[in-house]
Amino acid sequence: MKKYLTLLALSSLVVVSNASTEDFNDDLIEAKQVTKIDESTLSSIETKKIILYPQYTVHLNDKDANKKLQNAKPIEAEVGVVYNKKDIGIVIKWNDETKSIQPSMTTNKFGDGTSVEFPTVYGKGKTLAYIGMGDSNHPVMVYLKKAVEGKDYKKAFISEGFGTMTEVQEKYNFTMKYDENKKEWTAILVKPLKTQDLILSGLVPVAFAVWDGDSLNRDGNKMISSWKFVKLGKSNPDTSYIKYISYGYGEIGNHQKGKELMIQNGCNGCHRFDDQTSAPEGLAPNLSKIGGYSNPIYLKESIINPNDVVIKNLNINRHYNKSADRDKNGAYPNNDMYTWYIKSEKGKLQSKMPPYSHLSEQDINDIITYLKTLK
Amino acid sequence: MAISRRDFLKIMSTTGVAVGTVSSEAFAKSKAVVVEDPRASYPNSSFVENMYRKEFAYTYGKKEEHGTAYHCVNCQGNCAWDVWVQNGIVTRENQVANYPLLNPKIPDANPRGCNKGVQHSQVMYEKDRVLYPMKRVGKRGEGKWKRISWDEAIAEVATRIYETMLTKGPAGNYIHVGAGMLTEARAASGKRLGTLLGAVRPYIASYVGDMFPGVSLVYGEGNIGFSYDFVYTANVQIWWGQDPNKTRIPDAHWVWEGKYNGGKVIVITPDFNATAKGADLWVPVRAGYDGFLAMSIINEIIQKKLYKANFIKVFTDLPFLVRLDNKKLLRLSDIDKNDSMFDKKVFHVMEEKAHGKEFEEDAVFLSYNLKNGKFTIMPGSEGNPIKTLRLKDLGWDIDPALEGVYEVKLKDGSKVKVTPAFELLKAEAAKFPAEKTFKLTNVHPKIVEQLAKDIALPKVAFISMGFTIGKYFNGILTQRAIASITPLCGRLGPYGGFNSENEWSISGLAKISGFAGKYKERFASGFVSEFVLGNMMEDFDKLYEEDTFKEVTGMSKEEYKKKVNEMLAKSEGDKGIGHGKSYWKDIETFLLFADARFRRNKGSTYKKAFLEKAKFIAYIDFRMSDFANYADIILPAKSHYEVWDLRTNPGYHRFANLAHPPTNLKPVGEAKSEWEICTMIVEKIQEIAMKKYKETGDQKYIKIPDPLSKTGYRDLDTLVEEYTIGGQLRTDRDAVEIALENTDQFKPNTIETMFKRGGYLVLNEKAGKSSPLYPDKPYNVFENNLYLYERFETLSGRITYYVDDDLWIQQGANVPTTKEPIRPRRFPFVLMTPHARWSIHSTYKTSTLLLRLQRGKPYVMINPEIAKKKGIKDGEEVRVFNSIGEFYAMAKVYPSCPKDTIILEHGWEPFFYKGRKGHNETVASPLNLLELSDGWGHLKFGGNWDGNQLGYETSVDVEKV
Amino acid sequence: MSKRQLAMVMDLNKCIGCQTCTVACKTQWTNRNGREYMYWNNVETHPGAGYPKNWMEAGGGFDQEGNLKDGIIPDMVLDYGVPWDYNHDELFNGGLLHTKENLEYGPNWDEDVGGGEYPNSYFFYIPRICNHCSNPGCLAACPREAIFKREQDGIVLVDLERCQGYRYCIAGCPYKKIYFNPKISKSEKCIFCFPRVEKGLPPACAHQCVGRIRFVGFLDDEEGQVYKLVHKYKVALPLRPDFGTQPNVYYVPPLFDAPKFDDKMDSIENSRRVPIEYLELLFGKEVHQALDTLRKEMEKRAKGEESELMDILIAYSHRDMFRLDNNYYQKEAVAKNLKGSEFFKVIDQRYLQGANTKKVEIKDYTFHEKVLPLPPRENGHGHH
Repeated sequence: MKKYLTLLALSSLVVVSNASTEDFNDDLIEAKQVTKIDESTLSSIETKKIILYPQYTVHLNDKDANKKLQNAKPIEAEVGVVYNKKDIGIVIKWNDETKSIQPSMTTNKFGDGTSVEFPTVYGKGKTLAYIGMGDSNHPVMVYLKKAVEGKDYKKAFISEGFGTMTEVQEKYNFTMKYDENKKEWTAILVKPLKTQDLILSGLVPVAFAVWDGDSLNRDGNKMISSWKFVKLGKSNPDTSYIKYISYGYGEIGNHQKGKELMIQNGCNGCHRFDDQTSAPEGLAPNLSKIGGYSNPIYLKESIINPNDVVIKNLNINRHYNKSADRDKNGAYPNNDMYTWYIKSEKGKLQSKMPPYSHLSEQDINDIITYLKTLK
Repeated sequence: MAISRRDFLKIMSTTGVAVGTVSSEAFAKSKAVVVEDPRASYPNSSFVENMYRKEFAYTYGKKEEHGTAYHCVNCQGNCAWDVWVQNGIVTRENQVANYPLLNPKIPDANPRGCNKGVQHSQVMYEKDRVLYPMKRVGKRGEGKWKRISWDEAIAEVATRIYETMLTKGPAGNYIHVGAGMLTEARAASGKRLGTLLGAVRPYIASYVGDMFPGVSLVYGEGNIGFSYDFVYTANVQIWWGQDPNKTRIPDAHWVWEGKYNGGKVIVITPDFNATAKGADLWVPVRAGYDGFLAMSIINEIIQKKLYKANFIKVFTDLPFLVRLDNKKLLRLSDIDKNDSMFDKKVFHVMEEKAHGKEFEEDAVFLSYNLKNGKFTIMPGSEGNPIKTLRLKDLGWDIDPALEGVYEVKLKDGSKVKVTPAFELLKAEAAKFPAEKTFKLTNVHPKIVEQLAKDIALPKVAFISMGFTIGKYFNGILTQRAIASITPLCGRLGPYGGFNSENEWSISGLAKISGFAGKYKERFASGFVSEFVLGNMMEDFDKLYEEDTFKEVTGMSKEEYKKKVNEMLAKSEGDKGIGHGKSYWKDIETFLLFADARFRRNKGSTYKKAFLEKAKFIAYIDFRMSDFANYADIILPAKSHYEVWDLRTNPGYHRFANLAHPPTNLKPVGEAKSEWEICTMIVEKIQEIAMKKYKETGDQKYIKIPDPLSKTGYRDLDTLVEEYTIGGQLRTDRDAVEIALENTDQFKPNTIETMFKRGGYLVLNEKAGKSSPLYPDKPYNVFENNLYLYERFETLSGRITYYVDDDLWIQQGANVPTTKEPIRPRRFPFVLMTPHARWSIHSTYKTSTLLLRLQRGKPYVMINPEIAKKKGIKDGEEVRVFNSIGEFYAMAKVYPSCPKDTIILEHGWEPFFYKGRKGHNETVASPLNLLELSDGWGHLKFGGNWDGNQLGYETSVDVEKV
Repeated sequence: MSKRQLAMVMDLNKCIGCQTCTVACKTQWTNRNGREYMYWNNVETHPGAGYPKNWMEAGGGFDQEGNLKDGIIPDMVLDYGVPWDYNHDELFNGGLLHTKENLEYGPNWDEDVGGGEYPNSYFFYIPRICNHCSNPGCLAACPREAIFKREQDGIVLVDLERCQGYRYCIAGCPYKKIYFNPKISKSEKCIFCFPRVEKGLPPACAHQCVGRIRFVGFLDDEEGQVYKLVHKYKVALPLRPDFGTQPNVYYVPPLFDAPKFDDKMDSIENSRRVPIEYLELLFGKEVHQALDTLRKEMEKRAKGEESELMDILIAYSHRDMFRLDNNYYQKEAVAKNLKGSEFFKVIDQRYLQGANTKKVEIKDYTFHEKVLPLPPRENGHGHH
């Protein structure tokens, strides 16, 4: 396993992890302008510490992986960003005691890997995308690198929610090297600032993910960061946008109260979190680890305006309706109860979660404060 | 090699790698693809669909370029395959499955094939493929080879054969086409060469131990029975010592379809085998005691009067009178013809009808006619010119007695008591009541009772007997006893009867195998020659126990050896019994085709003795077999998909298949067909001989004296002319075309008509030997005998129970009987080595694909209780041993294995085993005196009368390594 | 949810365990490209661990409520068995032939072992391909939604363009009939030989089955043997229906079973070796009624009475075991205007029957319409 954060007590974890939302500046990454972008420039630049948290939104069906998931811990990574007229370069370093490269003749081994995620829509007046593969209103670009024997396994995707990752052609470099002495991976992504799908300028949201093969990580079973913000260029970003995305950092409420509010408002009727496990698994996103990788403003948006970030649930065939009639081939229909949205005639997706805009500012802050402790 | 399987797979990979890469090149989208419900509909199915479609199209190639083939190996299944090809490389094979539905109410023969044939495409490019001629440069077996040209190779082989002819005479050469190549057209190449050169040619059926001498004794021929669709029509099927689910894979469906059709399936084997699992009755007979069971059944049938007297009287020798003074059959030559008790009238009528044809009186037999109380001669026997079996005809009306003792007056006036053979059979059978044999056979009396009924009562019933029975020391007696059961119940032709292995009569192939009688071949007894060549008496000595042996055979090992050596001495050389039965004195030069000699032959002495004897060994095969490793020259043969060939027999079905290489097939190395190779050899021999002759002007260099040639010589100056029939017969394709032109049973057909059909022809009505081959009915033998009263090819002209040869009488075998196994009792387990599901003997044993579906190496099956006692766990290595040898294998703990046996599916070549010691190192193969006996009636050496190498007369012990 | 469902029935009474199907499938699809260890078709001895080892305990499928269950991903070495290789080349150096890998397990490791004790031991064979389920566990488990059912025939396929090799499908399939291809890092599985079917050739495993145990046709084709065995006579049952995936491969359960012996070695009339409980486990309670129907119809037939069921199972004509309704595929291809007409060109006329295709009566089928001229005769001197 990876080097954990120093975990003395749960409280200390809360403190440590709060670090990431104490101060918005911790999530701000100043990109350095350089003339030439290569390994040496990137490995020499100053990096920033970020924390990646185990993602858990839906239950996946790999028994062994799920066992390991139970004691998954957050990890630290160092990231640094440079850019020039054409390209952006990103370096990600993280410690991994167990180097895993997916071997050629096995069925149940997985490789370490990392990815960098950018929303395709961001900036002034734009809400934040769902961190897990985006959503229908906020497609994201994902650059993936995995350690696979005998392959340069790198892929670029556009995605708008679970199961929608679609490979995209783009010219870029993504390398991954392991330092046996330091037990450390160093990944370097160099890509154009402008492509037909993604234009990077100003204050750009970016998220990072790391997979540990040894923990049977792959797909959504991974360590992921919350949205960080890379500042490209000299010009100061729009203050209203900064105000918007920096919402909710620092102490804004009471987490015990937040929990009570969530129960009072019946969130636990659909969502599972903490000790609240009465809702059927998969009925709605599982919130038990939501705090680690969600920015406060995202949490706020999804409470007051869920339709802004409709998340397509995982494969609806995972639940079928036994009480319904079978078709002529003996097939049961899927169980709609587990669909997270309703589709209008126009094909517009509408979240099954009602907006909770009627809640007071303070109530919402309390809830956010509580959600931030779930990780 | 033009393109190796490796490259081939690379080619395939490119299509496959596409799977990995194409995706990242094709279909760049900037809109995420959202799949609503992949079970209901899918946005882009074509990408993956087309990928697999292309992959299929690649393996399938162009249909018109496909070849047709079968696998000419010793399974004898003979199935029509469609050989797929891409860019001249065979990709795979698929059954043609186009045999006609002969009768709408009888399942057709499609899709004939099996798990081995279906993967030949994979082994034909394997890395053990012999690609070019090779010459040994190290010690024999050391594995040091030098690639040489075809010219060099053929020159050396031809020179050795020629020089052997000069120094030792034709009998110095030994040319054998092994079991890896059993077809009319292809195997004829080497046989023709052997016959032309007067080389020794051992009888393969006897050499491999697949003879049915006990059956020949009864019916006059060993290979008799049905086409397997007959199985479907039977009310009762009895599979004795056989496992059709494993060893008749293409035919097994008729067993179960027959069962659905109301048939009863009975399996008689020591192990609970793959066929027994679905049987209505499995009879767990103890290994080696089948004869006791058979005698008990005969006894049951006689005691319960389940036999058909009227049938027996006409079609068997059981009414023949036997003298009680000397146990000899009563012959016309014995008796006083003027005695009033002798039926002169019938004799005279027959004399008249004989139109002056002579009676050989010592081959004319008598019965006691209940109609007139006189001794009357029986028609149909060898010495009686009246060949019909009818007992009621113009001039005679015989109702022969089956029972009673009578007194007959002999020439010298003395009187002797005689009794019908039936009485003696009854008496002998009475020694084996089911209650008594139970403790030996492990078969409960109630089951014997049931078996007797099942054989006697239904409309159609048969006993099909496997090759294992003949592989015991007393197997000849067991075969005879089992074969003797069904006639008692009147079973021939449509009513079933006995099945070993049907053979079609195929005439006209003499043209490619023989020389219009100019040269007689040195056809040699297989088991005898091998016994001597392999010095196998030594193993006999080491393995068998004096007391056990004496108890069973009534003679000491010394007496036995003395007797055997006497008989062997009588059979060696051209002057031996029957003008040449076996040869070993002069043999020194061997030309062997597809012959896994050191895998197949038994015992621990064979290899050493053989290699000492063999001054030169040329070996022809398509792969590096274990034996190839000991050759002096190896010649690369084409394999099944590369040659032209034609195959009919044996008669499991009525189709002759065609091997027609795919168009534009890329050659595999420098492989050649056996026909091409043999043609090259004769050309070279003639060239060398003529050169010598021209140099010296001495005739002796081109005229090799040989009593077996009509001219008195083997004429080397006309060798090529004779071998190739004036140039008509040089290649494998020539052979196929000549066979098609000259074989009545194939008509009317050409390569093209066969190819259009998918590589086969349907034999015409002439193919039936002793029954008509009806266009819409399954075939079974002896309908002509049953309905037309034609005689059987036996001394008595009948189904034979009584043999009055001195040796047989002395051995107590004048009537059907049985004896215990001689296997040593000090080793607790019988070693059973049945045919495998996964190989045809050693053919395909080395297939990686097939080995992955087994345990990957030789394994022995052990009963769980025994394994526990011996502390052996499944998968562990064990040592199997006895006093002559040992071998190592993986243990497979197997509940269906009896506690007194160890089962090892045979066919593993020595190179699979530690120290290159195969399981036959523990197996001795002694000669049975009865199988050596020669000259009585129809028991004369030939295709129907020879003995077997034994595989089952051995016991072993086992221990954990 | 597909328009129609192509299905297969396998008659376990006729299965002789020869594995011709296994090898036919292998040479057709899995002898290359990282598929070497896969057996899209395997035949295993029951009772037994099967392939992959103990697959029945490896999870997947759906629970009583219809929710996907967790499962595991079998191990190449211990559960599937590595596709071991041999040193054939070293036979030319006088070497022994042996594997390069250790022999731990294989797809047919426990061949014919089964259960019971001599002389009352027992075993039978179960050939297994992908069940092309109506509620496929693999399809449900895929977070990429890269596994789909073909609308025209319900064949379940992995979209190798979308598949990212996550392998949840392997955990999700209770039959463990979808495999990870390590060479391309994607999942692959039995495709019901759809490229053969579309061209008029039955799946390799069925077409080449020498035991003649496999029937192939559409479930809604009421004239077809598949329909009759599954719906009319109800003698063909899905394997482990309790896994909840609604398989579309059906089995005629093993009725053929030799009687047992008592301790005196007399055979016990009407006794069964294979425990009925085991058959219940495999085929559900329906197995009783299926076996009864088979028994009754066999008795009728034994008495010489007509029995359509026996006629079907006997299968007089190999051709009639397959109803590929090829006309339907051609129509579909046109309707969907699928590119690549060569993919849908019929290469064999014998198996075209079906609901949308009139039964084509072919007396003497000419296997090779087109005959290329024979190559010129090589003479005997191949070496000159």
